Amino acid sequence: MSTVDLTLPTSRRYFMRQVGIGMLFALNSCASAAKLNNSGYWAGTAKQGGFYWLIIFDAQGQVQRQIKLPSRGHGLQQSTRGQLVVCSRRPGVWMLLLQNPLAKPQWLGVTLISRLSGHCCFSSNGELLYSAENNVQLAQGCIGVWDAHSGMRLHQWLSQGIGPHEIQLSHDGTHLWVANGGILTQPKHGREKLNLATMAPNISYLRLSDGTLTQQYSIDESQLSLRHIAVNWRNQVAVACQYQGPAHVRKTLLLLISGGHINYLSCDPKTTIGLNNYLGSVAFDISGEWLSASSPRGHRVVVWRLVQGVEPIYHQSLAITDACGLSASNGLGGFIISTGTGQIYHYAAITKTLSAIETGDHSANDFSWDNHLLPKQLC
Amino acid sequence: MVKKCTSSHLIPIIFAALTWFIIIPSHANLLVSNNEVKAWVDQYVLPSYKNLHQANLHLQTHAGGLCDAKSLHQLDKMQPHFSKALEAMAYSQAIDGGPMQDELRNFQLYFWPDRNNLVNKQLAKLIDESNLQVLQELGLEHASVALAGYPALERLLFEPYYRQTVIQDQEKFGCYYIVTITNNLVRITAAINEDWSAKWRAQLVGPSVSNSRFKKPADQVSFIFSNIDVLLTKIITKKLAKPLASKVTKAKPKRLESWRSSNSLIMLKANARGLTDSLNITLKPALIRAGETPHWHQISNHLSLIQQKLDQLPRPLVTHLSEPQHWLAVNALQEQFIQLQAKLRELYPRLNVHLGFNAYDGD
Repeated sequence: MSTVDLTLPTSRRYFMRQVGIGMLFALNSCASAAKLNNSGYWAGTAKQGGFYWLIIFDAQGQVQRQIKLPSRGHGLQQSTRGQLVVCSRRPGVWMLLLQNPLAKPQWLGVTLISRLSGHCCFSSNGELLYSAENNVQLAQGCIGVWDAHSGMRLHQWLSQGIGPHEIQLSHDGTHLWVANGGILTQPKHGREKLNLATMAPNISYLRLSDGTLTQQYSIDESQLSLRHIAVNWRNQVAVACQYQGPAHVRKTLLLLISGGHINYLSCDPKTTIGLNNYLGSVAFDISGEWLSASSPRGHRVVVWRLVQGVEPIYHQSLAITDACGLSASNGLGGFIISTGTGQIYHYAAITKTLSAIETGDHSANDFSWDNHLLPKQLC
Repeated sequence: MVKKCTSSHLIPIIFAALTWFIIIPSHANLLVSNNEVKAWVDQYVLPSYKNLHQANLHLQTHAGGLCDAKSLHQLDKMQPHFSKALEAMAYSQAIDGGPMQDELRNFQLYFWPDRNNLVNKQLAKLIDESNLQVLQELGLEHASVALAGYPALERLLFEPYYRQTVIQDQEKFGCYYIVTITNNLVRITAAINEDWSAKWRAQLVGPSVSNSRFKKPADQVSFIFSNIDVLLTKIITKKLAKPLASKVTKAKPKRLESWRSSNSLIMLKANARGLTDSLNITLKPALIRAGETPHWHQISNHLSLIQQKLDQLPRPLVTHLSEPQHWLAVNALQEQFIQLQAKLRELYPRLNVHLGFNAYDGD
């Protein structure tokens, strides 16, 4: 059964429209359930009508379910068993766990001491869930470990840095890649950055059996916050950064960890300037040879190719207004791109073709798509 | 013969009407049309950059003879042309995106606010070292943005210390540097005009998936109103909030922009004109077409009040901001800008305008 959480009407028209959307979902629910059970799904979070939502699509890109969120969401992850988790934006206090796309929502909460920082991920067997957190008392990053069925918190480790943001499983599921962005925040100061002069971002590689640090990567640009990561089957890690220094100074924002080294992926100066010191998301395609990163502040998506998985070659820069959400599509070199202006695109890197995806739902264009999309190819 | 209208006939009509009522967004007719986008580009964007370029050309012309007869009087003669250029730039600030952002042109033209006092530091070092590389062709393109535009020129034309340095320098480095800055300003605004004419105009008025910048009408209107919102935010948080501080005794007049040349108020007035013209061209017809004239009246009222308050402020603002009555007046002006921004933001969802959801507030 598809679900729409109706909110209190703010106006007659708004109410009627929401009711209308609900009716359409209800009429469609049986077919939707069958579709979602028999084939894959993908998802994103969005703002619409002053509220925040999880939107679940079927494999054809049709909106099948929407769940109202208590506040703005951020990262999404799907397990190999089809579980789905959405993490609240930092400083966050909730995670939404679904055992399958049609399941009843499980709301997981954290204590006021450990605030969620926007991303979480499942273990390879879907038994455990890991969340990136900021421990307010320690002023240190932590990784929360949860039972992915009951939603019970089991224990926690240090993230080995300040301000952990995105976390991803290693290629073989034995380790956790952690992007410790380096930025200290405290809930009483909201999202204010408290340590820009002393930032020390790093990428840490933690052993999942006990949380031990096995490797750590850092760079000489201390104000380059290492925030978002994507991992391919070779265990290469693409790192998307946000520069916290002066706005008139522009830095290379995309890095690649490969073969034990961390390297900058430099674009031409014009593109580097155009990225506006801010990347919002990064993704590999299904082959792990194509890499894309989005800059909503620069209204751009840059695409790279790792030739034979080794030599990175800059491929193309796309100008797309407020583009941020990125995920691999089913095709080789294919990416789904979502925007804050309500658009969803498919980009085929091999043919350099960008095409709009119609979501089928008239109201979908009203969504402001948030930072991240769930990878479609995992379905 | 007239057919009887039975309830069974009415049901599909009612259903169809209800469906239309439900499916069609209530604000479907509130969209800014492509004609208004074109009008904004042709009546506001292109003319404002053309004027800015003309102002820079005048500045360049008046700098041309400076090194042959350098004197305080010659520097004085350049001042009104400098002020005209700043005013033209402020008028254009309701469009700060597009070509203005390419190659960091916005920073090269006008590096402000300058939180770390970079212009003073870089300028003192440059004058001390008389670095001739800066005077080479495209020398400023490769120099610090703090040395490339109006803020550095303002100090050279208006600050007594730098004025004397320029006049007394036997090697004429200072006056050649002034000429170089004016050349650089002309180069930048020529490039902005060229980019708008050659590429950006056509791209902004013709959205399509094959368009390399604007794919959908929503991208067009979001671009326009994001620019307007950026200027409002800049006025509220930087141009007014920083100098005002929390109370009159803490006011910081030297946080006003271009206070050295007494152009703070002139620039605010030009900003207000740019906002007024942009909203008149884009939002007014859309609201009136949608039968939402009262909303336009509210916005128009905010704009009028802003204008009135600006007209009542004394010049130069830098010498009056710390006076209680004028501090209160500037505070009231800031409040008017805040209310205007809030009113516009209230309307944006109905205009299908998304103010850079991730661009403004990503993570």
